[in-house]
Amino acid sequence: MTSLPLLSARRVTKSFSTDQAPLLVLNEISLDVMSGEFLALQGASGSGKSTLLSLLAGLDRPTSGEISLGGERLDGLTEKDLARVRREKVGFVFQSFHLVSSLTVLENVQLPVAFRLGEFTHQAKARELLERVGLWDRARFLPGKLSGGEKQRAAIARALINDPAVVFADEPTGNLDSLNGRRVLDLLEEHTVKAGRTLVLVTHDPDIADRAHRRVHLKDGRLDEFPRS
Amino acid sequence: MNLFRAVSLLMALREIRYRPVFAFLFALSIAVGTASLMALAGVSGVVKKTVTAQAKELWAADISVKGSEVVLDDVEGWARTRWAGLTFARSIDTLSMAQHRATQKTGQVTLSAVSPGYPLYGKITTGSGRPFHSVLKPGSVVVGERLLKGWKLAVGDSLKIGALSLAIADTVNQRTDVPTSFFELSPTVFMSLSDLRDSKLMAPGSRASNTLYINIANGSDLTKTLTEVKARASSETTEVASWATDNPGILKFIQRTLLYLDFLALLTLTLGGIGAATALSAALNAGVKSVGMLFALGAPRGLVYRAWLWWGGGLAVVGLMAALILSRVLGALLLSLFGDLLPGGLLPAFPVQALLSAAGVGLGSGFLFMLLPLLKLSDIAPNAILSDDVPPVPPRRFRTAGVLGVAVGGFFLLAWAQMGRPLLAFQYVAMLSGLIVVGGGVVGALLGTLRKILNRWESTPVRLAGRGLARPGNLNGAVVLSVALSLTVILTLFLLEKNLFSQMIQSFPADAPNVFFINIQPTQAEAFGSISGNPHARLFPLIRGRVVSVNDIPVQKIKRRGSREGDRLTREFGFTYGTDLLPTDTVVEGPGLWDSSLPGPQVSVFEDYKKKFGIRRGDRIAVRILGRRFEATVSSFRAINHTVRQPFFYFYFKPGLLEEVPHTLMTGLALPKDTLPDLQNRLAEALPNVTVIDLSDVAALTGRLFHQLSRVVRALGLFGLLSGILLLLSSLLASLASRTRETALFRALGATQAQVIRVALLEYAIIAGTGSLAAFTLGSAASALLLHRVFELRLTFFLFPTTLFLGGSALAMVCLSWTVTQGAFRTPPMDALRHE
Repeated sequence: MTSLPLLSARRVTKSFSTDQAPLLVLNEISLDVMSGEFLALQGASGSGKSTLLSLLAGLDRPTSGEISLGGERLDGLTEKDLARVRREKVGFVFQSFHLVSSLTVLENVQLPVAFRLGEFTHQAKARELLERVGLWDRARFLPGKLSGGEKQRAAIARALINDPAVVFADEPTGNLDSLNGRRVLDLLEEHTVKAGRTLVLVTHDPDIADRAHRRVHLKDGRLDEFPRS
Repeated sequence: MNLFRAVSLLMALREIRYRPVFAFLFALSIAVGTASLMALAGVSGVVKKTVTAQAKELWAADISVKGSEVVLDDVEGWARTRWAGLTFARSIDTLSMAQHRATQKTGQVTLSAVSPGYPLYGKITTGSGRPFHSVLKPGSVVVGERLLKGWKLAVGDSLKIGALSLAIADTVNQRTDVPTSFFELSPTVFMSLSDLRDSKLMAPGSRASNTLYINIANGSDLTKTLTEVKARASSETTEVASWATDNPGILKFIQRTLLYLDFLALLTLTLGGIGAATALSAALNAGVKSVGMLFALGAPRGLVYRAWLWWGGGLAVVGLMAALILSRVLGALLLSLFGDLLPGGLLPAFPVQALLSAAGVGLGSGFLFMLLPLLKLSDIAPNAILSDDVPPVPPRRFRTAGVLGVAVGGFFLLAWAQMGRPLLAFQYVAMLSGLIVVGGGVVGALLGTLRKILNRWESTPVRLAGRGLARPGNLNGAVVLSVALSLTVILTLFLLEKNLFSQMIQSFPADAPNVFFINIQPTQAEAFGSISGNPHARLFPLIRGRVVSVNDIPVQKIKRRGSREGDRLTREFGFTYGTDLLPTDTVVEGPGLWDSSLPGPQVSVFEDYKKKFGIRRGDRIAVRILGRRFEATVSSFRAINHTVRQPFFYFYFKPGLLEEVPHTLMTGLALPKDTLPDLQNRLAEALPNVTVIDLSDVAALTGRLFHQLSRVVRALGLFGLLSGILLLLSSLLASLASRTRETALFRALGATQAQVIRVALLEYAIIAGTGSLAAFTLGSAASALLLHRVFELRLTFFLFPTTLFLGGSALAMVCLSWTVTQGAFRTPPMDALRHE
């Protein structure tokens, strides 16, 4: 018996209008990601990795094709429903951390809950997550007081607060030194893949990609799959 | 041009090309800030130029001497024998009553009795076109158009003035001897001097202004003649003036008004400067990676500084050119708003020198405001290009304080150069600094309190909006302060106007006198009581005279303390005498009104004169009345409550000194408005020399003056608001990138478009609301202070219009903020969040 993929893209195309001809960034991409899978997405700069990530996470709509997350078609959803999907099913970790500089670390972690419930609640859960990433003692700090590694650990805690089915990480170690990068990646794996969640990670680093269950490579708008080495 | 200079110039041009919005806002801030200064300088210059060009006509002669008839007779007689070829004319101006014979309508007129030949310079043009003096003959009057229209009279009708019936021979079409008819309380009536003498209107002590006009012979030395005439007339502290050495009162009034308005122009210049500094900061922030790259490539810091100086200097020049156009528009607007307050026939061109001087001040101020942002260039490290995560440079407080000190000092020098009065410039800069410090304190306290309250709120939009106030790159404090300051100016003016109008002009205490009667002869006291129906009305002796000395020190040598403007001891006063305290007065120093321990005559003095002129109890004050000198010792000081609205006197003499001096009586009565015409008629028949002053006419004139001036101030206040708006735009654009990123992040984390928009609108509403609240606080405080200190009134809040004005302004700010930043809500989240 074959289980259904958590995340599925079918013949997805994305093009942008430019002053000259339309720019085709993704060309009929098809991809399945299973629940609990760790997928590494690779490709050169400008190959469309972030565009694919934003389509899979429901941040943007494809020009054509179908995308499903947890059995729900994203390409036909309204803006409001896409926001609901992001709140309930998706977590994000960015290369530049993107913590809100005017909110404390604790509030940053609470932020996805705040958008889901309309209030800054779930402090206990936020505390638990911050303790798991070793940042509870920094909970009342503003992000400006944290190191790069600490910022990314806070971002991981934030990505997990809504118990998402899938976490998307866009070059999460790109701004970190190797030691901090490894620590962040360990944490990310521990709290996603090892906890039964799906992790889709964009990276240039072959060492990081090697840790994934599966690697795909974007080139000229098309996807090539690499067998695990 | 060497390579270094060429490269820096190219860099500046490149910055302008790639970030035109900040360049535009910078230039516009300089333009708006400087334009009001240039407009005021232009208006001041054009009025001065016009009045100077018309000086001879406005003075009506080479030399004018004002004083009692006795002195004028003496000076004229002496001058006739001293020089040959002089020409003379005389005038007596007074307020009087006139009655239209046919309709029995009686009203107040401004009477000008003139001798043949008046005016010696300029002319009075009649409605018929006939020469003035061929029309104005004994038995006839020439009247202002206002009288004919207001009273529905016609040429040929007869007017009763004093004991005479005089025929209206013609109307005044135009006159060159007064710059504006704005201050005319009642219509003008010209009559001949001989008729005035026959009318029995004037008696010794009557309230009138006597003037002798002298024209010197061709080729004579005016300065020398003037000096001799002054010496001859000095014994009576008579006012001797000439077109060559003195400015007419209207020019002094306009220049003083414009000098006060300079404060608003300096405020606008400051707000414009802050706006320009913000635009420069925003441009520097946006270009920080370019600068970092240049440093990384080994560019010397001097090159980068030079490039940004080119940027600022070039744009400031563009701003000044725009200011030139804006100042013409604003100047024309101000001239039209001043309206008939200004002399007619204004010259069309603004003086170039005044405009250039103001433009120089604007340029200098722009440079000073550029200093602080430019210093940040030294904080940019070459690694700025490598990472977004460059640790912030710790604040360098001493350096910042030093630069601010230089900026404030430089601004004072510029204000001095603009106004030409160092003390006033210092006061204005101190007031501006105080206003910014106090306003900044109020705004800081409001924002801080709000942030604390909102931070405890669990609601997502409220908490995020509160935290958004501290978004990097924005300058919410400066924005709120600028908007608050400009709204404060407009609100203060509005509250002042409304309060003055409602408390002083519209409403009158029921028992307060609303009609004053002057020029009552002592022998007419009983008849006046009977005719007016107030036999027990208190009649105050009114003796016109001047203070000559205090403790034998001539008043001309007694300097006024504090501000140079204001009351003078050398002016003519209305003295009175009596036994008991006046209704307006309270003794604030002395054993009582009179001091039994003092020998000889005594006088009680207005308490302000103690502070202003250093007069003390026991001082000997000498006064001169109709050529006679009297001396009395200061027995007490009195506070005067002007709100009682009864006659008040600054010098109140104890009986026993002035009874024998020729004087008139005056009183104020509370009369129903509808009984006044009948009373005026009866007085015109029985006591034609009595002049009736209806306070509602005075109040209407005051109201019109205030309204006219407030329109001018409001126009300047709106220009200040425009500076505040530019600052708001600069701040919004400076923080647009971080807002766009934040919006994208919120959406990635699951926020709906509506949630994000709600957060932004709430944040804008907090900023706008805080600005309005700060304006309300500052405006109310300023209005209450001014009303209390200047007008002795208490502030009434006009809550509905005030709320409407402040609420409307806040709403407009929210709409503007939304319009400028709405692109941030449309940017695809991933575009905004990607590293590159």
